[in-house]
Amino acid sequence: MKAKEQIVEETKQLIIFKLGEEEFGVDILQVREIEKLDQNITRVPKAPAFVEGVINLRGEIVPIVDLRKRFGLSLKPIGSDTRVIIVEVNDNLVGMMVDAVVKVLRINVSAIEDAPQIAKGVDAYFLNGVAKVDDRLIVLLNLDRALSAEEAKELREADLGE
Amino acid sequence: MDTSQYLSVFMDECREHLQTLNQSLLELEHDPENSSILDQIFRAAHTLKGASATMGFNKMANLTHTMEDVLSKLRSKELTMTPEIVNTLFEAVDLLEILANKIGEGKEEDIEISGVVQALQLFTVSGVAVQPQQERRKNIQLRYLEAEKDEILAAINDETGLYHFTVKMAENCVLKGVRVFMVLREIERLGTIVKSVPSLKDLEDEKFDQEFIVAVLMSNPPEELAKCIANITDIAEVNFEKIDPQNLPLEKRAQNQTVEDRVKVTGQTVRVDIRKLDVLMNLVAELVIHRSRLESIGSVLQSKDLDEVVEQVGRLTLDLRDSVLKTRMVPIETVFSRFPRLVRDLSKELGKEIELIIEGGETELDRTVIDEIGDPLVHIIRNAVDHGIEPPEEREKAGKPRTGTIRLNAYQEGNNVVIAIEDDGRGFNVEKVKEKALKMGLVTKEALAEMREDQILELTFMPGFSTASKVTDVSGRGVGMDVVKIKVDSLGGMIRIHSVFGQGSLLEIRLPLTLAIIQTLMVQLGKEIYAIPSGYIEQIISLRQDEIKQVRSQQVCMLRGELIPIIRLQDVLDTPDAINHELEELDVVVLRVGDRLVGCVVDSLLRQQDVVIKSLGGYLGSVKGIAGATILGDGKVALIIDIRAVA
Repeated sequence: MKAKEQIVEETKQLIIFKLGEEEFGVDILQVREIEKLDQNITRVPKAPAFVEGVINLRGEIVPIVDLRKRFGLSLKPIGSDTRVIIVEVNDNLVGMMVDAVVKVLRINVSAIEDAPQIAKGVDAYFLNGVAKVDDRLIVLLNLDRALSAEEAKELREADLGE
Repeated sequence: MDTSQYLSVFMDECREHLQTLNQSLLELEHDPENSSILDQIFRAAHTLKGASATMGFNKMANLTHTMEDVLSKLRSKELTMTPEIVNTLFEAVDLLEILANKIGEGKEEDIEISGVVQALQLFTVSGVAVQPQQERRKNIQLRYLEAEKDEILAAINDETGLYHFTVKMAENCVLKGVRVFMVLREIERLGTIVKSVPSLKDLEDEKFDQEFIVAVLMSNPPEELAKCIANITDIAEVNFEKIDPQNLPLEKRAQNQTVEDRVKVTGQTVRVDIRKLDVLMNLVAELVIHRSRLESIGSVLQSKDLDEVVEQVGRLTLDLRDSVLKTRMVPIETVFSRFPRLVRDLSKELGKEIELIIEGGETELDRTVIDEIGDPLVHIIRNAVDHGIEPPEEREKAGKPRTGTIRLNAYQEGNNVVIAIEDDGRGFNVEKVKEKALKMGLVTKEALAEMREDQILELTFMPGFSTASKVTDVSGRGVGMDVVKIKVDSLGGMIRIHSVFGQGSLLEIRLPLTLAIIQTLMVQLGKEIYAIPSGYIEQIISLRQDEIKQVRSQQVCMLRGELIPIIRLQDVLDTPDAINHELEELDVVVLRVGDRLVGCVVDSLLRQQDVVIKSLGGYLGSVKGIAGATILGDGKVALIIDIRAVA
């Protein structure tokens, strides 16, 4: 909702990716790049459970978050379509592991509505809203919340609660 | 004008000049006659004035302007240096520092400067010309360098003598340069010019006030020359004196030299944002990684030409890496330089007489280490001044000189830099430490009985520990030493105390040269590779499975007649599929953590390797047991183990 206020223009561009059959969108301005997972992820002991580990992104160490684990969805092995979307959150680089990246989509800001309590199995707390495009529903991620390390613990507890 | 983009540059410069001011004022206090120090102070104040005025920081400009007034009167000898002036100047510098900090926060207006400004103005107003005209002539003096002395002595004989001609021009003289030229020509006709003050070049350029001195070697009677010179238009006065060659006035050369050197060094530096160096370091680290990849490809292809190039590239890469590392190195002087002032102020406050000796200021450390080590050192020095050095009377009673000495020394030793802080004060009272430790419940009586003296002294690093019976303003609040220890630990360093009660104490801090690159041992654990910092490795042993015994819940083994605990690394790091339980012969890395030895079982040892430490990034923050990560030759990431958290 905050992002909504900041947008002066009518449209915004989203990267659309898939977790299972559901489509999610993330603001393209927050995305640095999209990588194939062609290297091993190095496990980090004692890191939060949804952190798969770290990779070497051209000399920089970047942690990888498994979004399925983060949202408490059922797990899926890494496949040929698996991608890592490298985003910048609070000046830190984080890689989001997703099932597949679909396309870049331009949507009208007016098409964005508040998210329902739970959209496609993901808590509204992590969302910026939902957008209706044609007859599809795209869930817009609030990256600051979805990836926030501070709330990692809180969230794990919440996950256990569900 | 919007000056915000220049603010950081201004702040940097500001800090540099304030440091110069502080340092030079201290020097001046000891050597009030030294005009080159005064010049340096003046320059710093002047530059600061210009810069702050340009940036629109009026209070700072105002204050520096007033300082400049006082300083320029000191330079022209209209004022003589007194302790009051020095103190007021110190106050002004302190105020400048506060102003600078406030400017950094964007609120210069909050600070009141009128008090100090008034105090300074008082000097300039009431400062009557303390020295009469006649005295003032002594301002310029002709002194010789050591090298010149020999030449002159060789030239002097029975006939030829050395004379100093002091020539004074008329006050309304218009063409000074021409008159000087005529004077010099006159002198050259009858003798040889050895030297002059100001220099001949300055004289020709009219860079002098009204008088100058020329040293002349001549065999003719000097009176004749004096008369010739006096006959030139616009010459007010000519005096000469014969100089005794055995008593040549000599320049205090060493001092001037260092001042010049310092000026030269600052002229050759470029200010670079540390982040840019970090980027450069990252790029070089990448290059090092790809070099290793090239090497492994080369070994497969077995092409002689390729090998040659790879070797060249390899050497260059390492040189490049070393150079980049060096650019990050900063002399520890930048930290040490604030201590003379600290010691001066503290000892005045406490009524003690203390001399601070600083050695090894040129020793270089990585910028990141330098930034962190300042505060711990302040703690230690405060402690030394407050608790270490006794009041003068007490020292005399103990048969020591009234003035206590604190010696601050830094030197490089292998891949470490050692900072030693030594004082000849009262030292640590081991009995008192024991008593306190027992009272605080830090140790049991039995444990204490078995401890060596240095181990007991290390108890003072425990949180809340302070043997000072009375809490003073300076230290002794029970915080400090534990903070020092934590900081040094976090920098991968070590700290040790030696002390002889009644005679003094010595604190030794050992720090790694750089935090960017460390030497590690690569070990395999299941499918994972970890790096163990070599600094902690005591030795590597091989054990049979049955040599490891179980004592209660702890596995142990014998090493040189002592039992040491054994840990399996996979238990600490939750590593799946580690195989060392199934092995007959075990590789055990024996680590030293403080005084303890711990055996660390791994699957296998891979190799020694210098690695570039990278942080796991702000997202993960600090992960227990992991000190950082590094990138291996094949591009994979290996984690560096934080030994202190593991063992």
